[in-house]
Amino acid sequence: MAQIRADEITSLLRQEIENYERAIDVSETGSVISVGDGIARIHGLEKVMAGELIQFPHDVSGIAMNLEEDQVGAVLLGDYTHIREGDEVRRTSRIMSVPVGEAMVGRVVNALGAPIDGKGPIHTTTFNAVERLAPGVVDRQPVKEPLQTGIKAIDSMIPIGRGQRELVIGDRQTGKTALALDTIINQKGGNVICIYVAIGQKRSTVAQVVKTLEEFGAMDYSIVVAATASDPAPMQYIAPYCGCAMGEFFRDSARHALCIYDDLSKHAAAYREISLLLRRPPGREAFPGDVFFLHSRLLERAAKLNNENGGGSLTALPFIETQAGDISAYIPTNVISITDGQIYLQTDLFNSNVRPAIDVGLSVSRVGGNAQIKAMRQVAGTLRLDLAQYRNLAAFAQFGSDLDKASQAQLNRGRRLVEVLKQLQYQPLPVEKQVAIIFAGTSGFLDDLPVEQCRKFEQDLYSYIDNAHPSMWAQIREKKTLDDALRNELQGAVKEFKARFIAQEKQATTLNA
Amino acid sequence: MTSSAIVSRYASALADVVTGPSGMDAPQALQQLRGFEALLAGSVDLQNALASPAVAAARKRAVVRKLADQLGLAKIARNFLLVLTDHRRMGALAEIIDAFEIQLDERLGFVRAELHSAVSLDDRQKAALAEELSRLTGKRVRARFTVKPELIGGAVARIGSTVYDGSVRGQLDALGHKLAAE
Repeated sequence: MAQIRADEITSLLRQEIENYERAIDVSETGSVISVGDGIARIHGLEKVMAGELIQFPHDVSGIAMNLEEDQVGAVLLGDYTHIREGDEVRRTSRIMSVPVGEAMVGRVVNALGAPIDGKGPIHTTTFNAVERLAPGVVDRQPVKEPLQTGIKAIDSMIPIGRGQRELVIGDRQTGKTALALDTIINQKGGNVICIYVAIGQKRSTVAQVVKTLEEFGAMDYSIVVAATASDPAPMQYIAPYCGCAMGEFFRDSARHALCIYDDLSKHAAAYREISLLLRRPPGREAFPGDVFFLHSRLLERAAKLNNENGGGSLTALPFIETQAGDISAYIPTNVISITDGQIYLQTDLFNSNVRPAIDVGLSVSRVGGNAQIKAMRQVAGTLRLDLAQYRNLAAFAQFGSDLDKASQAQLNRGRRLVEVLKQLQYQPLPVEKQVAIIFAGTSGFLDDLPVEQCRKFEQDLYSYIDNAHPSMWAQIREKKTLDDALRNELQGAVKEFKARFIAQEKQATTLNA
Repeated sequence: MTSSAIVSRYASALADVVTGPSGMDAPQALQQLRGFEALLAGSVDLQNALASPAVAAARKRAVVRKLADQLGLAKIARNFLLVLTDHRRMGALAEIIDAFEIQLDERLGFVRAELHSAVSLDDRQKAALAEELSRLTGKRVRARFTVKPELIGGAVARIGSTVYDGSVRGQLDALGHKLAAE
């Protein structure tokens, strides 16, 4: 707090005294009947509206959630330990809003939009309501621009478009957050503002995320909203809406934003906690009846606006943590049905070193090919099919039966494609490089290489094209499609490189031997 | 069902009858019921007799009827007490009467106001304040005045859950908040 000089106080007091006559403060009040567990029951406040902000003493605010016959149930935001029975509370006639705008970018804030990164106050005068209605049908247009995650397996087979809602689902420790970080890092140099909402996570995890983003220079275009495990349940409950409100600012000002909710299972649990404390009737798994609406109204706010509205977009990547791979539990099925597709991460794959551990069979993107550049669609068209056939065959081949030549070839191809789709953490790839390696894989250039050399081949291919065909990346990037000339050039380059690579490897083995 | 729901239901039914076409003078009804309440509160024997399940309903009714005659209660008031006896709600009588009073005020266009002032007011000031509150709310105000020296100066009026704060204490608090926020 800035130091106040004595004469400032005097002048302020003088003003107040001069204006004394005018100031009669009219307010609607109630009194606290009981308080506990982050919930207050209030008598009075007859005219309060659902969702309205209520002012408690000691600068604590609350949200009216339950309007009952003779009392109001409110959740408390902030430190409620000083609030006592009988305290006077006031209506504010406002609904909860958070600061939004450019100044938020690069900051770490709590669920109320207050900075928690120690970098001083945030200078913004724009506020957005936390709960807003999603854009209507006429304000939208179909998702068509790609949002590149930089992850080969996703961009090739489960493409995400700007304005899409793609669920990322998997057990703990399957690389969900890693996927989010890669996606954020890949937006560097682009025009997408990333908002990472951490709900119910450990503070250490959030600190780690922020540190990683800073290391890769990704905080320059990111906002982190943190409602950690030690924050009260109401804070965890509003955090995603708060992050969404910040994203909406960019969407509505004709820009692009990506909102990552990590994760919505904990959000649902926080909401369950509030609901049970407010004595709303529990339903399946003790979640309240409106837990579906809880998530649908949040995710509906992700949208691609039409050109009359500026054409901005808000993409949502909600996360769900499953228990022992059970995607048919209550919250997972809810969110699966709300979103436009899901990316399923599997423990088994993760443990067998397929990372990112994306289960291609269960992952889909319902917006699909529209959100891919044409070049990627051209090369990745058969990728899904090849992998599906490979999985079928691999299960069959485990019995050690003799296979015909066609099946052998398919197994071969599959193994190499799986290898090609592996990717290290924090190394997102630009789309042109993805096109090159997937082209090599699906056109069979890798079929006669040993599986373990595939990844080396990939790395060397990139550096070879960097040196020998420097204009090719730009061409793919700008044309966005592989026309005959470009395809031939790419094919030529891969062939040429492969010959070198084989020779080089042979030399290496003879040297070693 | 919460007890407050029961109370408000009996109170509004009674108010319906009292203000209805075959009704009676409302203040009179209130006064008569208060009289019975005082009698009931004063006699533990009567309370026990009316509450005890061992006493037959017919005998309770007879007792209430007799008392009502002695007190000279009007028909509506007497019938109301008999209904309460039949429904075994005599225990909630005091609360019901309070709620009834509030209901009556509402229906007759009265609001209750609590007025706190820093110093005791003379009648002219009280009338002026009540007048001003009537103008603000558009209803006739039934004010209760109390003196609260901690307000330092001015007055605070509370009508329902709306508070009109014109006190020095309120101003100082607001000023304090403003300074703390800057």
